Amino acid sequence: MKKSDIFLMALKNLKDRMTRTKLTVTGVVIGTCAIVIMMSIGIGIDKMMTRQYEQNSNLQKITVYAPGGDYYFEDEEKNNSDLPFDDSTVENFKKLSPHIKTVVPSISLQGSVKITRGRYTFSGDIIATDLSTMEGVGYELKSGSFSGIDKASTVFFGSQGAANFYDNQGNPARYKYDSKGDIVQSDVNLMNDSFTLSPCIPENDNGTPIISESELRKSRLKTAGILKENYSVDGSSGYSAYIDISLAKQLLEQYQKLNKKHEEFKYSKMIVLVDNMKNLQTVKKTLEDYGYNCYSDDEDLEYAKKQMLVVQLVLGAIGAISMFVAAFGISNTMVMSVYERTKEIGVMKVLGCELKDIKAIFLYEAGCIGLIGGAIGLAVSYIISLIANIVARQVVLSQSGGEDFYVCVSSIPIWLAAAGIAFSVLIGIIAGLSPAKRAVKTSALSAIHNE
Amino acid sequence: MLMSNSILIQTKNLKKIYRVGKERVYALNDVSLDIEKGKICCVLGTSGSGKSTLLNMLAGLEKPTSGIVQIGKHRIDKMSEQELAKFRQLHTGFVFQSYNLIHSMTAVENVALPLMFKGISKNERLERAHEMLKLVGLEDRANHRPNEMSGGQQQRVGIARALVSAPKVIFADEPTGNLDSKTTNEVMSLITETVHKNNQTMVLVTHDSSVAEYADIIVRITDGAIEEIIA
Repeated sequence: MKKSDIFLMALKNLKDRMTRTKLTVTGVVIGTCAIVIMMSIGIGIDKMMTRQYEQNSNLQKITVYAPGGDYYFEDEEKNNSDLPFDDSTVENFKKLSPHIKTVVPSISLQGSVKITRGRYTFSGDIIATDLSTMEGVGYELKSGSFSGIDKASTVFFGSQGAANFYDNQGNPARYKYDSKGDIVQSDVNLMNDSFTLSPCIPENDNGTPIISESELRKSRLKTAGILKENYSVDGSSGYSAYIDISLAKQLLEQYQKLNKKHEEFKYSKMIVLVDNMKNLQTVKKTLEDYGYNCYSDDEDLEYAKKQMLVVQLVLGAIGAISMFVAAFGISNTMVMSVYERTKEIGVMKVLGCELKDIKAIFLYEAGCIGLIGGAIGLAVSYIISLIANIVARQVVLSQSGGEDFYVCVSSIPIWLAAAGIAFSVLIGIIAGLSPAKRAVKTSALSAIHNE
Repeated sequence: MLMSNSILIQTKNLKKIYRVGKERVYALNDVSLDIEKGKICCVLGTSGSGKSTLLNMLAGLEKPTSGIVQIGKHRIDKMSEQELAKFRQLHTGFVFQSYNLIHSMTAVENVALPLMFKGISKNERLERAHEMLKLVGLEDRANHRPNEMSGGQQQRVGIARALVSAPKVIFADEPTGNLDSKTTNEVMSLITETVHKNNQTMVLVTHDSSVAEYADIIVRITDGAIEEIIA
C-alpha cells in the first residue's frame, strides 16, 4: 500500500468516529498543554533572569585580583603573591589574547592618601584608576560628566559620598536624605566644594605627626561627577572616591618617602574587558592558567541557570503526567477501534491487505491523534503563554510604580514547540503499538463469520 | 508432486479436526480434489457438511490439520500469514455471503480497495473500478454508499471488487445466500459469464442446488467427505 493511502485511510477511520476522536484528541491537547506550559514557565523565568542579569552586569568584564591579596579564593595555594601586578602586567595581559580589548588597573589608596574638605576628612575608600576608562568599564554618572576633565585635579564621588565625611573628633558631617534616598542639604557639597588631596602623615612613636601639615605637597581637587551605585561594576562604588592613577603614583611616592620604606608598586585589581561575551571564558581560562585569580559575573548566572534547569525538569515531569494519562486514552480508543472493526480487518486481510499495512494504518491513526492533539495543544499553549505574559506584566508594572521591567513568565521557543508536537506524536504511536499488534493478529476468518 | 497441466487447484488427503470438549469432530475427512483451470466448481452441501471449511482451507483462511492444498505452484497449507496476504492480493478474489462492503466508502472506493492494497495510484484504480462497475451494471451507483443500495446491488459491487484485480482464482462463499431467487439468477449469470469470459477459475460454496446448476463441476459434500462429483 502507498504511504499516502495508509494516511488517508487512517484519517478516514478517525473521521468515521468523530466524537470519540474529538474526546481522545482533547486528552492529548491537555497533555501537550501541560507539558509545554510547564516547560515554558521554566524557560520564561530563565530568560527573564538572564535578561535582567545581562542588563545589570557586564558579561564582557573579568576582574583580576592582586596576587597575594586578602580576597577569598577557592584555592588558597593558587594565591601566589610572587606574581607581578604592575604596569608591565597590564602590557602582558594585552598581548595575551587578541580578545582582550582593554585592561584597566586600579589601586586602593585607603590609609595612604586622604581627601579633606575643611575640617572634614573623607572616610571611604580612595581608588585610583585611569579616569578616562571609567565610562568604558561601566561606571554611570548621576550628575556631572566624564569628558573634558583635568586628570590631575579631578575626583569622582560615589552617591553616598557626602555621608562619608568625618571631623577629627569622629563626628560626621551633617546630611539629609530626600524622599528618593538622595543626599541633600549636606555640610559637604560634593559638586561645588573643592577638596584637598594629600598623603597621610605617619606618626612618631609618641603619636605626633612627623611633619606638620603645611610641609606636605597638596593637590586641589574638583568634583567632576557623582557616580550611580552599580554593584556589578564595583561593590563599593557608592561609598568610594576615584582619582586618576597618575596622581596616585606621585602621592604614593611621597607617602613612601615620608615613611622611609620602599614597596614594590602593585595594583589592587585589574579589570579586563573582552571583545565579546562569547570569549569571556576563554580569556578567563588563560588568565587563570597564569595563576591569577579572576571573577566574572557569569559565574553567578551559570549557577542560577543550573538551578533553573532542575526547576524546568520538575515542571516538565509534572506536565508529563497528564500526557501519560492521555496516552492511555489513545490506547483505549485504539483498542475499541480494533475491536469494532474486527470484521473490517478480516475483510481487508481476505482482500489481500498485507500485515504491515494493517499495522501501519492503526499506527498512523494513533499517530494522527497525537499530531492533531499536539498541534491544537501547542496553539492553545501559545495563547495561554501570551495571556500569562500580559497579565504578569500588568501585575509587575502596577507594583513597581511606573518603572519598566522586562517581564516574561512563559516562553515557548521553536525547539519546545517542535519537541512538544514530536513528543505527542511519539506518545500516540507508542500508545497505538499494542492495539495495532492486536489488529494484525485478527484472523482473516472473522470476515466470514456472521454475527 | 506431479500435476496435470490443466489442474490449477488441488487438495490431497485434506483433514480438519476440531476438538469440542473431549470429542474430536471431523470437519473434513480425507478430501482429495482436483479443479481444472477455467472451470467453475460448486461445493454443494448442507449446513455443517464441511463445505465452508473446505473453502476456507483453499483460500488459506484456515490451516488444515493434515493434508495438502496447492494452487498452481503454491503450497497454501505451508504459507505464513504474510505470504498468504500477498498471495491473496496477487492471485485471488473473494465474494462474501454478506457482501462485507466497507460502509464508510462509496461503491467505487470499495471496488478499488484490492487495487489500493496493491499500491496502485488513486487515479488508475478508480478508473479500473469504474470499468468494473460498468461491467456489473452499476455505473450510475458508483458514488453511493452500501447502505443506499439493495442486497443484489451490494453483491454486484462485491463481485466487481473480487474481479477488479483480474485474479486467477475466485472464491465465493454462499454469494447468493442473502438474495431472493430472481436476484440470485441475475447475480449468478453475471458472475459465471464474466469468469468464463476471462478464463478464470472459481470455487463456489452453496447449499442451494439451483445455484449449483451454473457450475461446470458439482462436488457434493456430506459429513466432511466428498459424496459425489458431477462433472
